[in-house]
Amino acid sequence: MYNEDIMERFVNPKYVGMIRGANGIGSAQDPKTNEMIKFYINVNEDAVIEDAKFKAFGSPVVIAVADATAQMIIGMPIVEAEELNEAKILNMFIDIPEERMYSAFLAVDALNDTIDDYAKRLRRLQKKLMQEDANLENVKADDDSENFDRDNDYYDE
Amino acid sequence: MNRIYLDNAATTFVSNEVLNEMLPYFTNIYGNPSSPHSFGREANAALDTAREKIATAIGAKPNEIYFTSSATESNNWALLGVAEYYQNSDKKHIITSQIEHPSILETCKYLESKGYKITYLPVDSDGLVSIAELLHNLNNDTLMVSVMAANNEIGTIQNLKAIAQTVKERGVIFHTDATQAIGAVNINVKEMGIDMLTLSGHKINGPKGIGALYIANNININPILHGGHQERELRAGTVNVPGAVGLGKACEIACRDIIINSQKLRRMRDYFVDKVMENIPYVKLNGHKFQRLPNSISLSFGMVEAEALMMMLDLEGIAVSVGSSCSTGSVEPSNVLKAIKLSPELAAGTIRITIPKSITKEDIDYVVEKLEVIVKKLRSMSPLTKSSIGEFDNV
Repeated sequence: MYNEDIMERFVNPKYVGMIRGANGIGSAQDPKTNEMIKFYINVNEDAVIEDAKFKAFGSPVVIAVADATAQMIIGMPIVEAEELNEAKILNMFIDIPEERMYSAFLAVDALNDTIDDYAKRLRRLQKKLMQEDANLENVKADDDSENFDRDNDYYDE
Repeated sequence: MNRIYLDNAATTFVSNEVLNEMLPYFTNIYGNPSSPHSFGREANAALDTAREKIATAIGAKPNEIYFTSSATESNNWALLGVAEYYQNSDKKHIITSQIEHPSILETCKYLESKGYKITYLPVDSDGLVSIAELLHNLNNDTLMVSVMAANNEIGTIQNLKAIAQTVKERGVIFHTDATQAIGAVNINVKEMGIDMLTLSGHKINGPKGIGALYIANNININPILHGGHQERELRAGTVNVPGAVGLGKACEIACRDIIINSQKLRRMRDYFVDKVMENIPYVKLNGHKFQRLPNSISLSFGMVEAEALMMMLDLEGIAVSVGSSCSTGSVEPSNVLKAIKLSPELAAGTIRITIPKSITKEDIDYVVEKLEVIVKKLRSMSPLTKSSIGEFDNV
């Protein structure tokens, strides 16, 4: 029913699974068929996707497309992954039946959701770091005032 | 590789008994049954015998049996032919159910576009049409009612006699699509009050390309195929004589063996279901628990997508179908599973297994063993969790 490259990825997907401590997790579900793709990504400090894995509830094509997408984004800068579209995913296959092409849209939606999640986490992390920096400043200031007080105490004495 | 065919609601092989009956009509007795010479007369005699066998199988008269090319043609003809005969009357209302075969549903949609009002009766979670709902919808404008005898996806057998009698009491024409029911359900059209009935050869170990429509002698209907005097001026086109002979024989055998086959199939079907439930968690059995075709098993596997499951089984040589084979290729969920209000995720994980008479317990053990491994594999790949989807028969 499907050609070899779809069947090979469907039967032996290499990028299926999850990443513990992933810094981007996102998914998308097709409203008509209820099929679902979920991605896990790990993005390094240089904003490059170091690792990617997927889980999928869907037809052989959905599973194959998810596997191909995960493979494609590994080693890709996040800004480039943001630009990924269904045509690029479909290009990874010799032939996908027309009525199954929505699978590539599903993969793109899931990937965008994953990148959004990564961006949110990043913003949260930055906020947290800034907060920590500010706290550190405050602590320092507190320390200084303590010293000052102590100094005052000292002077009082 | 050991191949196991579990898609007998899609089609069946032609049995040797049927094939042997058919063979002479390809080569030796090849006359056109419409021809008045001896070649034609012997072919026509074969059609008469086949008509008699089919009539006996459903309790009709032989002259009420019309050969067609398929159940799809019979269903189209029943609806379109009656609608056209009564086109100048005020009766523009047809009642059917939400779980009919596409050859009924699509024909109804066509009639809708021609100004007919169609009521699609809902079914309960077992797939049964409610008589109260039917009564409520029958009115003075109702021309005909068409409700299938047994469903092709979930196997539920309707309370056919009660439906037919409810319809007859209101003087409305009643048609039933009995394609899946022949050989599994005892049908007597006269006792039950059925005016028209569709049946097909290839679902009962007969050949493909042959069907029949029973039309009670008092029912008025127009032809939909024109250009010949065949079938008492109602269905033009030279009858497929070998096919008709095969259909006749297949009906005869199906009714002769109905008790012994049903008993065996039911035993094997229940063994199959028990084995699945024992070994695989989060599975739901669809259709009526008892009022169900003896060879039919519709199972929903939580967290598993049906096409993926079907393809992996296929790689192991096991043939099943996704929902119904008629809807494979389309990505829309089946109308039947929607009508019984299965959750969308469970509907997406539903396969249909229809077992043959020849199945053994060893076959079933082998299939369930493979099924268990594949379901486990697909679940390990699935982002869905057991809490995210419907109710199961076993946890």
